[in-house]
Amino acid sequence: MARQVIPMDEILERFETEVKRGMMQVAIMYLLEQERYGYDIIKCLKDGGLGVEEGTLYPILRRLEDEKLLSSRWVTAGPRPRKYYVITAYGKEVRAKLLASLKAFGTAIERMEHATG
Amino acid sequence: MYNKPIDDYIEEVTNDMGAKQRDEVARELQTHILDSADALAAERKATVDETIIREVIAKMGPASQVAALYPSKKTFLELKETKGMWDAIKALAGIAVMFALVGVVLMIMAPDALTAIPVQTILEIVFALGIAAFVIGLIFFGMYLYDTQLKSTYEARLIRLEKSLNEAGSPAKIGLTIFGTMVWLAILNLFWTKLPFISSFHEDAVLIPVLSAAFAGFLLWFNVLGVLGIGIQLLFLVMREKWVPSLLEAIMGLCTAVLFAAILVAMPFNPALPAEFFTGIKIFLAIVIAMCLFDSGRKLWQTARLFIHEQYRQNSAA
Repeated sequence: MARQVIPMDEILERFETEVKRGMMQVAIMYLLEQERYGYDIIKCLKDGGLGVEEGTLYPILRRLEDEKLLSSRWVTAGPRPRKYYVITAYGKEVRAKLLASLKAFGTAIERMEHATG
Repeated sequence: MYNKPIDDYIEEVTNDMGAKQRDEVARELQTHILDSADALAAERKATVDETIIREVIAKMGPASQVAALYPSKKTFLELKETKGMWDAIKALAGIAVMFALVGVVLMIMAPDALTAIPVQTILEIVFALGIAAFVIGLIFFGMYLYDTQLKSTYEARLIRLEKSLNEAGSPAKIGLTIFGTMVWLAILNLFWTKLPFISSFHEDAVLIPVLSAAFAGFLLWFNVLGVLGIGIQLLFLVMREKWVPSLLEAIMGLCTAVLFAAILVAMPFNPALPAEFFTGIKIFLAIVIAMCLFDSGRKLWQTARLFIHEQYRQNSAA
């Protein structure tokens, strides 16, 4: 039986989603050097060229918080309650390692690309 | 209003979450949707409407996908807080089974030994352990039920609070309460001397008045409380700070309980009534006093909620 060819757009989209998820985690950790809330983070990500489905941000924040990479607090003084996040000291350590890891992957891919011509 | 699409989306995302996580996630997503809707409306120089809300929700991504991205939490049985209790149930049940097994083995293999340890004792120990496991299990089940079903979400609490706030000043409710109080006072004042009851539970029973002349002293207080009650209901209509009449209602509930307690002590009833009536009326009055106290506590709780909510609203407006 002939295998069905998956359209390139679909492959690219899936790849981008997979890569973006990891990149987003690092980007968020950089943005949270200063205290920010969800909508603010989304705006900054979009401005930085990392537009995502907005709902996907919150599960990432929740996971990073569970892993003690972020801390949060509710601020109820404004028109509606907002949860503000900021990176922890441990988060900063992990962020440095993650960035190094990302760079190493990039370098490895580049090296492979050059080697194969 | 555009709350329904937001509530539906949040409900779908948080459906399988534990109560605590559900509350937090719901609050956060709601704030985000509203923030995003405000920004989109400002960009288009329009006001937020259902179309904008639906557009924002579409940008959030499918609810099922967002829900799947949240880190999975430990189940109720895996939680550290409940694990100890679960272990206790298992240990108790295990010991009970062991005792029962020892009893059965002794009965088959060495029936003579059972003369020294009566079967009844083994059965009692097994029964006691079984009861202990059952009670812990019951508490456990109650906790599980509370955590998964009864613990209300932030939205549900807000809706309930909003409803109670509206109900506190509802003209229909106030009108009905005033009407009921007036009817009750009219009946009491006009007919208290004629209120009948049978003189005995035998064939020769005749109808005689229930209340004695001593009740006249209490009638005045019933009237005072009735009139004050009507006044308090009117305060609900005219005052913006609903917690004030609510507090007065709570105090009046206490006063009513004191009045019924005084009646219980003085017993201003016809002495010719049968002894069973006096027993019945004492139980009835005790129930009424308990209900008054409970109602007063409930009103006090409502007062606190109204007070906090009104302060919060004032601060927000400022």
